[in-house]
Amino acid sequence: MHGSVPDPQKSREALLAILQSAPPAPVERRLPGWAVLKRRTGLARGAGGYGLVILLMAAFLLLLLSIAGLMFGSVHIEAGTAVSILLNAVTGDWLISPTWREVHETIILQTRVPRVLLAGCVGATLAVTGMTIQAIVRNPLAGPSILGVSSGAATGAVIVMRWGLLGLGAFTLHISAFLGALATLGIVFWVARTGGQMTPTRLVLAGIAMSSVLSALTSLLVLTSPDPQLASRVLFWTLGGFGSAQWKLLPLPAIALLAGLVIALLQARRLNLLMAGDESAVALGLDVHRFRQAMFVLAAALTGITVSVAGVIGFVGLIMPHIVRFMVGADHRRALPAVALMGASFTIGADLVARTIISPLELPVGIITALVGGPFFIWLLRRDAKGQGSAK
Amino acid sequence: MTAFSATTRLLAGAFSLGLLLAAPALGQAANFPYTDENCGVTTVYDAPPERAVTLSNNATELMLALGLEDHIAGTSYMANLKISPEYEAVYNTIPILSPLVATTEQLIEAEADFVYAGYPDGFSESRHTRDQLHDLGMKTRLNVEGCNLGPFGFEELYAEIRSVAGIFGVPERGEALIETLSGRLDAVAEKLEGVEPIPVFIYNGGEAAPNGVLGNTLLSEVVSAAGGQNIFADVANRYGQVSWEQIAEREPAYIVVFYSGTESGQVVDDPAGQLGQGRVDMLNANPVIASVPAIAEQKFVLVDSVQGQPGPSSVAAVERLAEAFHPEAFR
Repeated sequence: MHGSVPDPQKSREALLAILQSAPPAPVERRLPGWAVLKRRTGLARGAGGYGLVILLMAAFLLLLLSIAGLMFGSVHIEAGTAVSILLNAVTGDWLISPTWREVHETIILQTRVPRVLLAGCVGATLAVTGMTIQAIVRNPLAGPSILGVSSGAATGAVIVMRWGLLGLGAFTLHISAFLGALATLGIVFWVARTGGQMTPTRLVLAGIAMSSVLSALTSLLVLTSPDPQLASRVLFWTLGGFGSAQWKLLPLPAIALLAGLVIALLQARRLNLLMAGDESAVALGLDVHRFRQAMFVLAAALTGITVSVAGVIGFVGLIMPHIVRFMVGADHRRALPAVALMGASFTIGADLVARTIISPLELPVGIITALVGGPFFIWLLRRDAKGQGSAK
Repeated sequence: MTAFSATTRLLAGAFSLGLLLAAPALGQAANFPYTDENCGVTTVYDAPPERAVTLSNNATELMLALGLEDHIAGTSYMANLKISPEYEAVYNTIPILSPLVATTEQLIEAEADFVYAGYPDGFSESRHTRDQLHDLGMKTRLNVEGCNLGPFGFEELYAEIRSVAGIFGVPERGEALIETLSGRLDAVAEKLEGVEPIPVFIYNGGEAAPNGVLGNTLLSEVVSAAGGQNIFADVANRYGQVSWEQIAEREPAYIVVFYSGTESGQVVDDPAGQLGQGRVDMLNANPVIASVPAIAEQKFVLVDSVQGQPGPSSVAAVERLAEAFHPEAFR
């Protein structure tokens, strides 16, 4: 990565300079875990029991937000009733006997519980994916939406809806979203690798360019389609939401989350190695090239599946890894479970805001995550710009 | 022996009573099971739905026109628009679940068994898909204009009426309604005999670039039936962005200003003033179309989505527009 020092001959825009400066020195200074890793590759020492406490706190926060998620909706149900219905469903009639309307039970169990679970699964998956992508490209500004992967998945899904190519059965949308994500990731990396090495600047710029092209393509597909249903369907895919959550849609994202988290955890040491730098990783016997490719496919699959069930929800995969690394350090063995918990909390919280702020109307949840995440991204850029200035 | 005959008599009595009770049920059973093919979704009805919920004003009016108020558990998405006067009294006796599209939770709370949408946005991933509602025990129908890929005329509206009447086992009411509506259309056509259709632009808002109502809508056919010709009838879509230059070029003699009760998904307090008159002001302020006959002569007519969306009130729209376009024919 030190090979990517800007060419003094070329005058560059401020953004490029900021992006280029992002991975090496400034990050090392401000992300303690990152620095620890640089010195002691692959070691989990340093935080110890402190990390466990944070994990427990994150789990508790997730539980609180999940319960809050059951209490609000377009039909008013008393908070006590909501909790009683949930307890009754879990423990049976012997603890709490039903005194509520049956329809309220249906509302809680058939719409709100799956919705909270879906939001949690998607948030956790996006956060884990974001953390993995940031490690494999060693760039803190990377994330599923910044690299255009989410847009690629959405475009893949929209192409299928536009021409009704449902030949592959129930999972056609999921498969096409995955293929869209994979193809986009492939193009972005192909562009970024031009010239032999993949610089973070090229990577982010290629991602931004692909996002723009793909969202334009999606709009084009909608506007030229004679199908009146397509526009309202595509709005969902491009802004994201959990309104269509159902129990039968949950297994896929749940399996994706579990599989993704387990695979990423199994590779945690290698991810740690990679973040320490290609040279050190190679020196320690890692086939960097193959490992990156495998992780890219994993990231594309996870992003594709989340987009296919909940649309594009931006910024979760970008900002959660930063917050978590700040709290528990950059060792992936600890950071990955923590980022999953925090990602789930974030989307459940965002969804709660999205459906209560202008109740009974619902906002697309992507608006809330972008409202929170956009400024965070800008702050990240500003912070790195200052770091760059003082380093000179 | 006496016991035997008593039993026989009792049995015979029970049998004849059973026949009597079965008679109306048999009449109904003749229409059921009813299979509804709609926008790629096949639904089988074993009996008429008892707790229908409508997701748009035109769906509400179509059901009320068929006298199905006893089968409606609630209506939604009227925003601040007014239902047509002939349905007002009955409409006010039915719960209004939401000024916007009823949410999944509201549908469950209303214990809906049938959900009828008049616009395509009634069912989508961002609210509730038809599949999702079916899993919750609710059957669904979407007005065919909302999934249609070609022009949508009055024959298609009649087919929609027949389908809904079929679902509720009242085909004869459907035929009666169609007869009334087509009779009113014939009366308009008779008055308009020999008149030359005038070019009409149907404006659906938009300041920087105008949004037009295009060829694949019933509103476009309404304009035709009223002695007009939608200047964008050749564009095979429902709504879409056109250009001020095209409007200047096609010189409409009349402009139909179409508006709904919501803007950006929010209920508008005074739709006729804010959206209807507001759009007229926008048209008047545009220099590119200032010399178009409709603007020069201030030929505007406001149509809200109660009359502008496909339903029984589309015929009332034809009557209003025909009088506006060709006042001489109605003198």
